[in-house]
Amino acid sequence: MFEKPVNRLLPISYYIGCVLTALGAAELIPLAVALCWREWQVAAIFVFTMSVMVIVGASLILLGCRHRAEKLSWAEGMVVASASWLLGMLLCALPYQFSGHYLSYLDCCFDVMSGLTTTGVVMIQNMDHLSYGMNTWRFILTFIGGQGMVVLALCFLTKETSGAYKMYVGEAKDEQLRPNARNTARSIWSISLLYLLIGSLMTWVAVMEAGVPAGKAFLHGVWLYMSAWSTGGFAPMSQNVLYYHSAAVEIVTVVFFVIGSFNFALHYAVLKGKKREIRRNIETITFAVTLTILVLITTLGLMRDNVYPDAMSLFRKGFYQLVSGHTTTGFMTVYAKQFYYEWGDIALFAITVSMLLGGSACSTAGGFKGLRTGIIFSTFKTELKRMMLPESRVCEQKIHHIRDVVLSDAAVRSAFVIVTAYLITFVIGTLAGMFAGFPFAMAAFESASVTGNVGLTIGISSPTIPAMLKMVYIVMMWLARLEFMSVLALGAYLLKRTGRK
Amino acid sequence: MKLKTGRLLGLLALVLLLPMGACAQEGSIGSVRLIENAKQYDGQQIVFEGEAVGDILQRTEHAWLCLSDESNSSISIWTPSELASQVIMVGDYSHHGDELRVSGVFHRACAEHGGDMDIHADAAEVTARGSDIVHEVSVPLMVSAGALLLIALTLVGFVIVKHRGEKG
Repeated sequence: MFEKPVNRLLPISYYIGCVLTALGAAELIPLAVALCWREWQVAAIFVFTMSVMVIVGASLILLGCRHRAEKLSWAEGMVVASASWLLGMLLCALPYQFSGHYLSYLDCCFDVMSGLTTTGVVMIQNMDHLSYGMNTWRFILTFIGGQGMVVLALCFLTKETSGAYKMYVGEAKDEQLRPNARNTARSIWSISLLYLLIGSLMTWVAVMEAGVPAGKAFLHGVWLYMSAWSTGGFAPMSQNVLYYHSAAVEIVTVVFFVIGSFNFALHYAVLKGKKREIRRNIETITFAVTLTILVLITTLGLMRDNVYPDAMSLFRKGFYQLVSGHTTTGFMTVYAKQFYYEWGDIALFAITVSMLLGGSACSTAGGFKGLRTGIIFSTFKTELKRMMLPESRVCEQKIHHIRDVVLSDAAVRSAFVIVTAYLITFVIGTLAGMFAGFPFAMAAFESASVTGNVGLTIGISSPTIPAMLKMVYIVMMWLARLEFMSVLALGAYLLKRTGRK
Repeated sequence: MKLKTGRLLGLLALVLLLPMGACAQEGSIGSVRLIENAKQYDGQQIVFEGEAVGDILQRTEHAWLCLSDESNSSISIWTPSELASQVIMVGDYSHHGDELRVSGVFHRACAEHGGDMDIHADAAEVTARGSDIVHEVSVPLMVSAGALLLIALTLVGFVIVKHRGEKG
């Protein structure tokens, strides 16, 4: 007669299980690479760790299977997203731990979170001797993280659509390209896979042109493309993109990380034939304006300090690092310490600001996002206009993002709240860096890089830094990638549950 | 007692002076020191030692070599092709690359190469030949991987059956 109240953990457990199983299944790709290149020990590692992930994932699915049709609340959708990322990090770190390239499990978790959040700072040791299989896992993590692991699970593993949109939003993607979340998730993956084919081919050719043998160049091409598109910043060699000494590789990667930093809604609109959207969209306009200003400041700073001997060197180094920072990619053609020892305060300032501003909303990029920066500037403009006009005049605030949108107070408030949250995180990260003994400029640069999920490093992020700083950076990457709300929802949910007990 | 103190002091002096002597004799500079003091070494003739890793990136008459030293970082060497041809083995997952001792001019921001930090080598010698790295497959790992895979597949089977059962 009376229905037993459902334990709300059960539907949550079901969806988290789906995400973990999808992540486990993703290990089939590095496993195949390891088998192709006869890396037997690496293959055994992947079979072992994949099985562990699938066992955990399938157990959680079985636990909540009967309740999967239950409607998730907004908070629960966000809990699924943030908890999946946390558990995903812990499990995805297993292959790294077995690889022998890390000094501690914390370092493994750091690199996984860095990969999944498309940040790109690393703790790995002896990267130049890493196996193909393990390298593939690094780039797969970046690629999945860029599009979103919940998005991946929504695409392939679940047919339930109740609460799907809430989980999708929980992963900081709120554009609805198609009427339901599952189809939107599929569109995101279709766009990414389409570019994967074109991009990998182009990068492969560029890497071959740089002198890497064809077979190996193919892997480098796919990896670099995955990293560029996801605005990740991982590269297969310890010298990052500098290793190739190739203008062609730099050009191809710039093209793809800029495209990757654009909103999926913009890609979808352009693929549907609305090419004018590129020129009209508030995010592309904001990106063009901030990029121009910051490139100018960086160039002036580098010129003032005589960092580079000629205009071409200055352009190649200054422009590449800045665009890499602004799109939150983190590819580098200079050594980390060169920023601190050679670049001077003005260029460092410009790069730090660019990393905080970041790419577009609902893209693979991090940072404040162009949409919010655009809304904030538009608000200032409207307020100024309002002051000039007679009080009786109604002043409407409009932006163009896929369509003309009249901005509500709630949208403006939301933009200010998220940007403030990013700034607070940035300040906390800077303080943590200074407490660990690093000078302000270095601490601020690294904090901006971690907050914006960028990956450019000034040399702080290394296995030798205190464990506490590594943990602070891990939480910062997680918070910033999910844009705070999901992680806060998880915290509130856990507090509520412990409080009840 | 005096003899003991004298010996101890002698030993201490030896311990302190040996690395300095070795450095002076070898004269090679580590990658971290080079990167952190790039302005100081810019345009100077230096000696750098490290393991050849990655690939030999061939360009018309020259090639790029990547030398990695023990500090977990590496430096690019721009070298004439005939010098690069001495390298037989480059380091990767399955190989420890040839160890090279290179002398040449260090550039903090090379004008010839788009501002890259590099060393233009005029001499190079292989100090130790590379070798294969054998990665033995761990039997306990293989066995446990197999067992876990079976459990995982069984659980996936249960999930599929449960989903189908509920649909039916």
